[in-house]
Amino acid sequence: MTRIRCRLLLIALLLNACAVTRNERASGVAEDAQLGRGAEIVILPPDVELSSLLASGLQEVRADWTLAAEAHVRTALEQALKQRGAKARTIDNFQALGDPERARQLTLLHEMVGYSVMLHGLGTGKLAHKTGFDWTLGSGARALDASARYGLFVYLRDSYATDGRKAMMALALVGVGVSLGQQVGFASLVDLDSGAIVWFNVLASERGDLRALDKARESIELLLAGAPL
Amino acid sequence: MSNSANSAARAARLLVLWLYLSSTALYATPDADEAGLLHQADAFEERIAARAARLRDPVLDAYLRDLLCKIDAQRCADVRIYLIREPYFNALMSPNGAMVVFTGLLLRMEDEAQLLFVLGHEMSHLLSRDSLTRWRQMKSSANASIALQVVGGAVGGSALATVAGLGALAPAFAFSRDQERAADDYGLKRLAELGYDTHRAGQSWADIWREEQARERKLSSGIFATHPPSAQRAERLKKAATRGGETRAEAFHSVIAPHRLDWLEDEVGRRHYGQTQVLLARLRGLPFAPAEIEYATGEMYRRRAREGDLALARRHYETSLGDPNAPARSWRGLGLVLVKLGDSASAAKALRRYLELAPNAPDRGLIEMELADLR
Repeated sequence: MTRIRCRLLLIALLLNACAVTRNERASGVAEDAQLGRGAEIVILPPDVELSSLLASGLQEVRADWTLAAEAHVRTALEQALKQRGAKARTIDNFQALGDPERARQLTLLHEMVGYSVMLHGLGTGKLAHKTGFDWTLGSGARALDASARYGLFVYLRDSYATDGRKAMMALALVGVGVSLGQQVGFASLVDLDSGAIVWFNVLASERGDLRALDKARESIELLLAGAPL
Repeated sequence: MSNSANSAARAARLLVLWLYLSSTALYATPDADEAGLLHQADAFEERIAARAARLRDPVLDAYLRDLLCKIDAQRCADVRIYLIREPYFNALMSPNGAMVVFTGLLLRMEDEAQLLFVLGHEMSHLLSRDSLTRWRQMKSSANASIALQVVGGAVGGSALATVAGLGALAPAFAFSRDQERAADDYGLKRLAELGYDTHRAGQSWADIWREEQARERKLSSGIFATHPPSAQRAERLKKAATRGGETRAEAFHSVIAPHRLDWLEDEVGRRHYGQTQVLLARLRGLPFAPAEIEYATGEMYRRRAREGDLALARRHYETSLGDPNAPARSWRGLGLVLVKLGDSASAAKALRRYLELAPNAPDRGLIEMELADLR
């Protein structure tokens, strides 16, 4: 997990700004497509983890913040989709799915494909001979849900500086570059018929706070930027 | 020294002091760190539980649980066992009671006494809440080390800061040496109290250490993730062994017997042949499943395929097949090695024999293709 977090931070550095999003869509998805108008979308359980950033730079996971953020992210996603007129349904947990274990494996696969998209589909690690956006989970994606056409995945990691960390900032005079926390993540829309990732967005931000609903809404709006919903 | 350099150094010293004094105040509430650790552990367990590499065998599960309950009759109820089919010598205890055991560890155990020692060691990490203690240690030492970095920056030195910073990189399951020693002591203590032969613990670590020494350094992954062996550790365990007793080798081997062949293949599949050779030579010395060990040795030579290896592979397959308990796969190995040695007629015979004995073999299509080529 540490390695993955490093990769995400690396990408955040590549994107190099306060709040940046970068999205891609599969060819054949029109600029003004509103996929949620004619078809149902399932919102999969978001993968969220919040940490406090200690003075040393170590990240300590906070269970209370994470649980609150999970609920806020869910609510914000539901509201954002409703606002766009999309037909959406939320899946509360994997146990609610027909074959929970298989569904869980698919979401883990999605996570790995997501990292690959970030490393090799966007930014400097882009594969020289990969033209067009044709990432897919494969035809097995149907196992996630029997009826919906699309699955919406969200992965978010967020960290906040402790007072000790903030104090470090004051010592910039001795040449220590110190971050005060990062919000990184990605979202994707998967066609459950084919497994194709039809839209993908990566977010890196030095702002934002998933611990409060209104701020979580802002993050989700950023995360859904350019979504064909 | 200039005035500004002076005040920077003074500010740095004050900060060091402040970091030390406030290191316990850096978490918002006293137990937020433990809650966070358990939250992470739950997420880890949820992922492990969904892994395709999970091995589900009710007999093996019940056997492991039974041993855990021998070690601690009350707390064994708090442990969930996850067996993962991967050829690594490792077992992990998560702070929430999720215990992960890799099949590569079971393959390397010679008897119940050795396994019980390992389980006792892991149980000790749970009973002593070692993960939390270690995390708190890391936090305070990391906070201290960044303070050293600041001082280092102020005085223009960085070597010390680099060394001190290393502690913060230790992975989540890396316990301190003291914790590992305490866990070893607990494992040995329970081994003795339950009437097992305490010499078996040190023996297994000495054997594992021999395997580690045969590691080909240029290959990226060894078999150890979180419990690196050392001569000292084996020596310490050997010295601490106080009494003989039961080993219960038969009980252990009857439980792993249905899986041993798969695990041996996983081991060969690592392609760390130097280590595999050491392991197989040791297993050949045990009175269990000689035909399977011969088969795996044949596989190792056939797949390594250095000069002279194919002839050695053939000999080991033939030895395996001389045993009435030979696995059908020995015929396949013999057939494939004979193809390479150019004896098509005998190769075809052996491969056909394999398909007769294992008509539902998953690689049937491949073998039939090979047979078609031989005609």
